[in-house]
Amino acid sequence: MIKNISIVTIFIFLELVSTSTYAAFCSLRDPVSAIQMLYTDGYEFRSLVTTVTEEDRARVKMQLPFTIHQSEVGKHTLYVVYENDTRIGFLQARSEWAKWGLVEIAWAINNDRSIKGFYFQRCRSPQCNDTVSEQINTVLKNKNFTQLKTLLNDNGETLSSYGKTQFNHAPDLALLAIRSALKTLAITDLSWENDINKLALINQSN
Amino acid sequence: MPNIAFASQNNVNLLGENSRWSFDIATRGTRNIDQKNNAFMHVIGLDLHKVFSAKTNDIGTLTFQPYVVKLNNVKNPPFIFDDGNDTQLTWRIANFNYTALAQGKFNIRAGHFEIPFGLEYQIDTNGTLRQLTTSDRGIKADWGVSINGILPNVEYEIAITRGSGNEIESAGNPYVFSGRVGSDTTKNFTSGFSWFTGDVLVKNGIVKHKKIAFDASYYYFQWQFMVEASAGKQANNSTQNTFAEVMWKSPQETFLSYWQLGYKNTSISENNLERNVSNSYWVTGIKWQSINGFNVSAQYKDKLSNSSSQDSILSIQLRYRI
Repeated sequence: MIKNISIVTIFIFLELVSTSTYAAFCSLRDPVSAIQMLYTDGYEFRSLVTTVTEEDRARVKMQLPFTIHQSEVGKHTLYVVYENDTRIGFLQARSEWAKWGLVEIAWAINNDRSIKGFYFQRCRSPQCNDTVSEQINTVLKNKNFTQLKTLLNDNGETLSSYGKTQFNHAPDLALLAIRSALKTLAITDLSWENDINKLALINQSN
Repeated sequence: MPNIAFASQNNVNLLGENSRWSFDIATRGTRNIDQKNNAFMHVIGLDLHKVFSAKTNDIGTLTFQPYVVKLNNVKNPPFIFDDGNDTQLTWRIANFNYTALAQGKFNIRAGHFEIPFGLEYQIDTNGTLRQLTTSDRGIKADWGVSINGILPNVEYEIAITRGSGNEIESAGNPYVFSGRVGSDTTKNFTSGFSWFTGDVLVKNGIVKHKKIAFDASYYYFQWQFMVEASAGKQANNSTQNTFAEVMWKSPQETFLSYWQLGYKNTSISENNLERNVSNSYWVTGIKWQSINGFNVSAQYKDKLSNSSSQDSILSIQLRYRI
């Protein structure tokens, strides 16, 4: 009986693991459409691949009431965006779990670590249309980590009363987007800090 | 175990910055129920990915996937194998995509890559039991060059390739000119127009192909619906192919199941007489992805009507990415 329960437990645990980690690398694609949507012409971008570690995951949990999933430990890409050889921000694509499957959101981040905007690279709900996306983008635009946190309750599981006033339409999608934005901002500085600083030094030496 | 696996990948930067690598191991058993034959295929390969970058832009992406394939008791093996028990080095993807020209809008790819045609363009089926319409054309990936890119609302790839598949061979002077122009694949409805023309190298020479296709995909929550229809000529005979697939994925996408239907009609001219030969099949399959990169999949393929030449085939595959 105990053995059966253990097997079921293991199965449930295994079920919680995203498949995306184990996709062949030939399926990796740059978020070209997202960058085109989020930045005006004249930009350049370069990749910055780093390893998101278990320690980073734990440190996100110290800043937020939730953290990234264990399956996200591994290699990820941050795109650094430039205009006229000057850094104008970053772009990072993140996968979030919704009840209907994975939602992939590309986040454009300003240099001051506020949100410039986002683009649904993949969202299989018809609710993820341009109108809803624009409504959520309008609220999140230029908000920093602290300001985004005010849109959620203390446990991070629901919208705060202030947050509810901001999202009349698609509050579930807004909640998913806010949690994703907070994790993105947190992990960008935690996991890429050294790489960003190194790259800044290289760029300064131009 | 996961920590060990990640350590091997994450802490060793074999190729410097912006690189990833992984080992891919798989074993597949296939039972041909009609011919009462069991066949096996064992695979081990390297999956390597590196982005070369300048100070403020990416220069290009190298994808390098050499695989050693060992066959065991395979009837009618692909012609690159000497026999059904042979071992060969094969290439899945091995190319460099030069991306420094226009921020992803116009790239130049050189090497071994998937021929841009139909649904295959947006779905990675390398090393999986689940396949789409490659068998219609007899070639999945080829050596050559392409231009490719993503424009606002349009994605495209146009390629000229050797036509010989795994190895660069000039016997019979094969070639393939192919391409696909389609809508933005980040949307829930995508469609595309493709063409494929050329001479494809096979065991006994070359086969002439000329066809065009339309494909469409629609995603609705956990469901995925795909269709591809093509028409043209193969070995100077008129052909029409249709393919449809419905797929369902669990919310975490650790489990998926799919159902496929395929139909091919060929008009064969012999001695001023024309006869139609049709072939139809159905496929059902499942795949389960576990932690640590281990996955197991199973598939059953059978004829749809008695007139079809399709055998009943059951396949099971275990795969592990380290």
